[in-house]
Amino acid sequence: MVHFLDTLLPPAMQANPARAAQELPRALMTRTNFIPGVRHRLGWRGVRDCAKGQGGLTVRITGMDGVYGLKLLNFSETPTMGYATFHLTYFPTATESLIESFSIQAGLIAHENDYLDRIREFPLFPDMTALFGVGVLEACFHSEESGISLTLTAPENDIVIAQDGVVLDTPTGPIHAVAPGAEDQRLPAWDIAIPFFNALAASASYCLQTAPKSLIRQTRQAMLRTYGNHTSLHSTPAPDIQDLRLGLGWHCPVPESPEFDTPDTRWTAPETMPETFADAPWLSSELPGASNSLDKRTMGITERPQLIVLTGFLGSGKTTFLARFIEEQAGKNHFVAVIQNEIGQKGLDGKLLGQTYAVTEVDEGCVCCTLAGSLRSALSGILSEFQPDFVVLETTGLANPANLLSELADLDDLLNFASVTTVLDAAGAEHTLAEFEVARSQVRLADVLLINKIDRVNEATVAALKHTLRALNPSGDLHCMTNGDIQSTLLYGVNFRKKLRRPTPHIAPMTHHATHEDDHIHSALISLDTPIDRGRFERCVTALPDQILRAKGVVRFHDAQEPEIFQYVPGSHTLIPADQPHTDCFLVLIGQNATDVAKHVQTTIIR
Amino acid sequence: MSDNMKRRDFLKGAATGVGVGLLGAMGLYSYSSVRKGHFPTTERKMTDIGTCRSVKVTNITETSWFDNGVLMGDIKGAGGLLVNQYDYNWPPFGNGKGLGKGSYEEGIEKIKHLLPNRLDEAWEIIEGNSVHPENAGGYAALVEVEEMSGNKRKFLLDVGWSYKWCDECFKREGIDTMLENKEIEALFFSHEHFDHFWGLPVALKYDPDITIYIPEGFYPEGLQYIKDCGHTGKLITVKNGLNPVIPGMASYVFAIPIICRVYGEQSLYFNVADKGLVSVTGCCHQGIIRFAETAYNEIKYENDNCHGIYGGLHISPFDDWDPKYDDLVISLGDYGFERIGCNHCTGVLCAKKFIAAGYPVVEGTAKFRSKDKAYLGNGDTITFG
Repeated sequence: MVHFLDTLLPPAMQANPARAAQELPRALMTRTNFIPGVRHRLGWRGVRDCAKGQGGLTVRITGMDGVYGLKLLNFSETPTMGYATFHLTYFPTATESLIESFSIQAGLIAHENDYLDRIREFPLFPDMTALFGVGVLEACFHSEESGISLTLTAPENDIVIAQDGVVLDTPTGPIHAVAPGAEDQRLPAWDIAIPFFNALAASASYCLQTAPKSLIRQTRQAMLRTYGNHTSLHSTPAPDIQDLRLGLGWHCPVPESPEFDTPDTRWTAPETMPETFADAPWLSSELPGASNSLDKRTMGITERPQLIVLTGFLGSGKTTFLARFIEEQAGKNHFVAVIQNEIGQKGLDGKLLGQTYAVTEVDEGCVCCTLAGSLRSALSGILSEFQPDFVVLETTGLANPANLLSELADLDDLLNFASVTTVLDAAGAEHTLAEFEVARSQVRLADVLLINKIDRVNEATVAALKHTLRALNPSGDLHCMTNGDIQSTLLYGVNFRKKLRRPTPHIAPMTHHATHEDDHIHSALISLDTPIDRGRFERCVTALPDQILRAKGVVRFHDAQEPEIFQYVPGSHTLIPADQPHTDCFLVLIGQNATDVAKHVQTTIIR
Repeated sequence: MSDNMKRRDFLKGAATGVGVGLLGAMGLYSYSSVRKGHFPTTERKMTDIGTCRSVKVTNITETSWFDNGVLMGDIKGAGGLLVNQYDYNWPPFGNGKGLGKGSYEEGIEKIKHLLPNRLDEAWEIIEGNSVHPENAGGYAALVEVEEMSGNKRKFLLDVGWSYKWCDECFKREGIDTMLENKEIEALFFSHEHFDHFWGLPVALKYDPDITIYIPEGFYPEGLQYIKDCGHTGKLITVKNGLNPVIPGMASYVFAIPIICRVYGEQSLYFNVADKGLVSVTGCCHQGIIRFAETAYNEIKYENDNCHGIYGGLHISPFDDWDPKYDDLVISLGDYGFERIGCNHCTGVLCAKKFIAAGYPVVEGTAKFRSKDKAYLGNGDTITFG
C-alpha cells in the first residue's frame, strides 16, 4: 500500500513517521499549488514559504481577504505513527470587517505600515503571531496503514476580557477603547479556521485520489481569558461557548483527543455521511471530469482564456512587450497563445519571438479589415489543441481596435475579453497621434496605455505625451516602461482581477471607424532572391522618406553567410543575425505611398 | 466600543496618529497559550566546514530543454505536474505508447542492454519510442575546488538529460577525458528531475566507477536507474541537512516537494578563504532565500560574508498573493552577494531584473544554444576566490 502516498512523499520520508507528519501540510499544499486550475478549484489563492527563522507557511484562501499562517508547534512519534501539531493564525487585512473581532492590540498592529512585511515572515514575530491565533492543526501519519489524518481544533468564539479596560492615547486625547470588564476580543475562530482546513482536506483527497474514510467531531467547554493592568492572564470556564474538534482520516482512523468529550459525530465509510458535511469540498477525491489532468475542460473548469488585444502603432514595441509577457506567464506555469497578423503579405514577428508557443497567424492583411470569420477559426484551432490561460491578439500596428470589438463580442463563448492594451513609442507617439486617426483610435479604446522606450526621451516629452493621451483617453491606466518591461500584475492585477475601465466590447460600432485605408497607408513587398550589397542597402535605408512608417524583412548580404533580420522605424534601424534558417529573403515597407517607394528601393538595392 | 465608532476607523486614527501610546494593554502579549509554548531564539549553529582557496564552475549545459512551450505542452498533455516523471514517455524511457503512457520498466527494457557504452544505439531506439526527444537537453556543471594547499579537486553536479546532447557537451568541455582519467572524484545529483539526472549513462560510459551522491528522497525508479545504467561505484544517499564533503565544501539536502513527483534537492556550499560563502545550485527549488538563510544559520564562513552564487535561482511559482513585491529581486539584495551567476531556472526575466537592480551579475556569452547573455550559458565559467 506504500504507493498510496507516493505522490505526496517519497518512500524514504514515509519510513520516518514523525518527519512525514511534519511534512504533510506543506507537501499537500505545494503539490496542489503546482497546478493553477487545480489550486483554484481547491480554494488556494497562493502559498508562500517563510524562509527566515524557523519556517512557516503563509497561505491565502478563496473568500478570505487576509492571510493564514501555519507553523509547526511540536511533534512526536510511536513506532507506527508520526504526529505533528501546527499553530494556525489568521492575519486579517486592516480594512476587513473581521478586524472588529480581534483585540485592540491586534487591530493596531494590522494598521502598522510594516504589517504585510511582518506577515510574510510571521514566525520571526511570535508576539504578533500570538494575537492572531485561530486554531491548532494536527497531522498524523500512520506508517502501518499508510494513511493520514488531519484534525482542526478551534474555539467557536475566542473571548478575551480586559479587566481594567483599554485606554488608548490618540492625537485627540485618550479614548476608552474597551470599558473595564468588557470584551477586548470576541473572535469567531472556528469560522475563520474552517476555510483553511477545508482547502487542505480537499487537497488531501485530490492528491491521494481518495475521499476520507473516517470522521469524528468532538466538543468541550471553552475557556475565556481575562487580563488586567496588575493581574496576569488567567483562564476561566466559559459556560456558553465550545471548542470544536473535527478530524478526517484517509486510510486510517482519526485519533481521538482525551481532552475532549466522546465524539458527538463519528462516521466511517461506507456509512452515509452526516448531512452537515454533505457539501464538504473534501468529500470527493476528484475534481469534476478527469481528475489528474491539466485539461481544464475535462476537469470541468469552464473558465475561458483571458483575451488581450495588443495594439500600438508600428514600431512601438508590441512584440518586445509580448515576448516579455509570455516569459513572465511561463514562469507562473501559464500558457499563452498568440494570434497575430501582419499587414503586408509576410509575417515576421512570430519568427522573431523565437518560441514555438501557439502562434497562429490569421489571414494575410490587416486584422481590422479582413478578419471576418478567420479569427474564430484561428481561435478554435488553438483552443482545440492547447488549453491556454491567455490569448493575445497582436494586431498590426495599423489596426483600429474599434473595428474588432463587435467581432470579439461574438467570441465570448470562447474567450473572456480582458483588455485592450496599447503600446506607444515615447519618442514617436506625438507625431503619430497628430498624423494618424488610427493611432488616436488605438489610444481612445485602450484600458491600458503603455508608454515604451522612455529611456530615450526626457521627462518633459513624457509629460507632454501623457497630457496628449489623457485628452484622448481620460480613464485608461497609464504606465511607463523601457524595453516593454513591466509586471503584468501591475497592469491587470493578480490573476487578472483588476477592474479595468474600458468601453464594453458588446457595443457594436455604430459609425464608420477609421482604418489605415483612411490614412492612405499600404504595404509593399520586395522579394530578394539573391544576396545584396550591404553598403548600398544601408544607404538606401537611411534615405527612406518620412512616408515609410515601418519596414522589416529578412536580408542576405554578400559579405555574410547567414541571413539577417532587418527592422526599421523612422530614425533607426537594426540588422541582427537570424537565429534560425530562412529560405526566403524579403523586405516589407509599410506607409503612405509604399508601392512607389518600394519600386525605388528595389531598383536601388538590386542591380 | 464605548465611543460608538467602528473599531477599524478608530484604530486607523490611533495607529497613524502622532505620539500614539498604548496605555492600558499591558500583558496583552501573553494572551495565547502559544506564547507559553516553545519559541526558542534561533541560534546559529555555524558548523565549521573548513576553507578552500577558490571555486570554479564550468557550465557544461544549462539548456535543460530547448523549448518551454513543447515541455509545458507535454506536461499538460500527459496529465499535469503531479504526474510521475517516468510516466511522461520522455526520453530515455520511451515505450512507444505515447504521451503520458510511459513507464520506467517498459522504457528501460528497450535500452538496458546498451547502457552505458553503446549510447548511440540506445539513443536511436529512444528517438523512435519517446515523445519529443529533440527537446531534451540537460543541466550539468563541473565544479573545481582549489584546496588551501593549492591542490585542485573536481566534482560533477548533475549529468543532463539527452544522451546525445550531453555527450556532445561533455566532449566540448573535455569532461569525457577527465572522467576517463579519473580526475573527477564524485558526481553530485541536485535532484531526481529528468533534465539533471537521466543523462547518467553518458558519465558512466567514461567512468562507471565514479562515486555518486544523491539527496534523500529518490524514488525506486531513480535508484533502479542508477543500477541499470551500469554504475559500479559507491552510491551515497545524503540525509536531509548539512553534509561536509572536503575542507571548505559541503552539500545540503533540502526536503521539499518538487513537480513531476520529485522530492528533495541537494545544493553545494563553499567557504572560500578571505571571501566568504559561495553557493552552487542546480535549480534551487527550495528558493534562494531559504538557501541563503540556511547557510546563515548552519555554516560558519569567512568574514560572515555572502560572496557568490551560481546556479538556478528558482522563484516559487505560486508566490502570487502579494504583487507588490518581487521577493527574489528585493530580498537577494539583503545578502550582499558580490558575484552572481544565473542559469536557466532563474528565468531570463529575473536575471535581467537583477542586472537592472544593479546586482553584480556575471553575464554569459549565449553560445552553444544558450539563449541569453543574462545567464552564464553553455560553456561559460565563473570563478570565486
